[in-house]
Amino acid sequence: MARDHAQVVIVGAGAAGSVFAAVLAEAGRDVRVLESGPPRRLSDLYSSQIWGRRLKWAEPHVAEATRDSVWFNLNAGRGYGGAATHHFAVWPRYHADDFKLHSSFGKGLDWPIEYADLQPWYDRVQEEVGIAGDAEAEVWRPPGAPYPLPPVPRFVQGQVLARGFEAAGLRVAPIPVAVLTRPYKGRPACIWDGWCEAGCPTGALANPLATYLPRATAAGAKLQAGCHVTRVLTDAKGQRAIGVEYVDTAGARHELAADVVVLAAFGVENVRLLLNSATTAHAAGLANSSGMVGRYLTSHPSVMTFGLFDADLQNHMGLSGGQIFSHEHWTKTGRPGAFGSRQYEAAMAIKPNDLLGIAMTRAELFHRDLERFMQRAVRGLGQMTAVCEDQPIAANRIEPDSRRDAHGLPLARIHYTTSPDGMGLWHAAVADSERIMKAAGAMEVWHGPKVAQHIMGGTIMGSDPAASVTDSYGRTHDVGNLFVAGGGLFPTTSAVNSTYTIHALALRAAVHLRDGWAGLTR
Amino acid sequence: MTQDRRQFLARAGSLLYTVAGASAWLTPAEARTQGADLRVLDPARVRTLEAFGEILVPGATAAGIAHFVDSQLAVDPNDSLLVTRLFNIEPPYGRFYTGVLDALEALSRLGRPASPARLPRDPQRCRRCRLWHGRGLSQTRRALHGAHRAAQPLVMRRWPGTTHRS
Repeated sequence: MARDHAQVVIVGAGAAGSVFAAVLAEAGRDVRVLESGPPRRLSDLYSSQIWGRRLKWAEPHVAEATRDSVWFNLNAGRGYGGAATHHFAVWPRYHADDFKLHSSFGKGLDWPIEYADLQPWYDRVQEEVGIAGDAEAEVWRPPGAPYPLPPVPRFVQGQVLARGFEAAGLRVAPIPVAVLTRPYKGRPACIWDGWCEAGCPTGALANPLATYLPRATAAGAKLQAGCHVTRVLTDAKGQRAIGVEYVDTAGARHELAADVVVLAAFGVENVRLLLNSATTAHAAGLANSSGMVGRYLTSHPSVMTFGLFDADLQNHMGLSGGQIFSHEHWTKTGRPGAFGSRQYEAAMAIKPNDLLGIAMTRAELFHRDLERFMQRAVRGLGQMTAVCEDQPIAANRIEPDSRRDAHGLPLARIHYTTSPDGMGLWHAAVADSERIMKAAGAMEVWHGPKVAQHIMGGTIMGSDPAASVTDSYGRTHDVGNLFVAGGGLFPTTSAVNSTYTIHALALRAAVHLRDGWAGLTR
Repeated sequence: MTQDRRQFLARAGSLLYTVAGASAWLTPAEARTQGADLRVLDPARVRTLEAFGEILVPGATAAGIAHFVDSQLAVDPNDSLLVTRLFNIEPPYGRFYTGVLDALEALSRLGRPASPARLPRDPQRCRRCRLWHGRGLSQTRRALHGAHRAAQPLVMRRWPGTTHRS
């Protein structure tokens, strides 16, 4: 068995892993990034949803134990860039009240940090990456530096749906996106052709292939594709991580020794690795003395609502994530019996086919009826999405399944049921979205099924080692040189897309590790 | 030689097929008309898939639905372009597709008057198609869901390692 050494080994080349790699490599650390999927460059991406399917996992990974689903395959990604390669780059911030749900409202959990702790990191990430938006128009926006880029243009669909919000008494703002509205730091401006979800090949959208991975490799970080990490290795006493074990594409097993291990392999895989790294000293799984590894799995219950208009909405143009958004239904206690916040995103670019395409919006239609609908909808279809907060429930969890994958790891068995509050918000969002569509002038209005956007929790951060897996930097309570990164750290979901917060947390943690290296790696 | 954008995109959809022992880059429609080899689906399943595809979208047969699906079932799942990748369906995907096609065929024979492979070209004019689909054309979603549910035990029985969700 071959064995070599790096100062830092990062498992996963996605949003969080790429930030860690850039910061630590630029500080002169010897960084190795092990990615299970294929190597990928921007030029490997195609503006086609069918080709974009290759950004998803194909290997057996997850066994679902409940009727509800977190839609793992839709949310996750593989290869350099990870899930962020196909994300829509809608980047709003968490609000201050998202961090103190338990102490403020007696609901959910508290984070070990407040918004003020994260604000400078949000500001720094937006300056590094480039976010387009209109801070003044976002009357609900928490404190922060103005956006470095002007907002996205509003095409016909955005103008029409904005009138619907206005008629319903709801304010909107240009949607904040990590997409360039003008050239920025060597990357080109977006051309608004609406293929974000297939993977942006131009570099205008802030996926890791365009942002932190080039920085990491330029600073000397080594990326290794096709390396499926199977275990975190610990010393005899179980007090320190000493590296990882991985299997390459030929099936050969390797060990890579490291001073620090960062798990950034997506929330589900991080849990799977920790549970599969059990030893005598960590019988219930690594970093699991609290029993919290795998617990508090959450997602955003979401709904897409559609309206058919007698107009050419130019609905092929813009961004997959939309042109406008609203936090007017944010107040946590605004709806009796359904605690939490809602976000509306509207005027998404829509393509004819695939799961999020026009044809699938009316799955009951077929043959000539489908053809007639397509001919109308290809110009007249408008779309909006409501993202609802979910409440953390300990019983929503990831545990090892009895079946194993090709590398010998148990599949991740997922138990997930949307919280009652989340369901209440979802039903309210359906009604309000249809009201907005009608107010915009749609002739026909309908909505899709409940979908799960973003996967969070499973390795939650907290102040109490008995009730959480890591501290606010993602450093595990049990193993001092083992860090976890990504959305798995989130104790609560908010009602906003998670990738911006993943970046902010990762940057904060990576700088903390860089500056406190001597003490944190002991 | 110049090409317009649509011509370029049409060629960009070419896949590797074998015709009369020789490899060729063809669109699925060309692969069908040139009789390219099928590697996973047998003729009976091709007929079921084409009939089912034709019901969903007129022209699916001529567009080469069977040759597209077959080609993507034959490649490494990590290179596959099938929509199954978006769901929690365990590869190899051939298990799922052949199981569901067999289930559709079996379902069509259980109290239904027609095999999907024998349906006429214009199903919306056909009462048998309405019956085959369930209680009416407007309720295809329910019928498809029923077919999928009906397929599950068959798939499980035939391929015990297969997991999927409806």
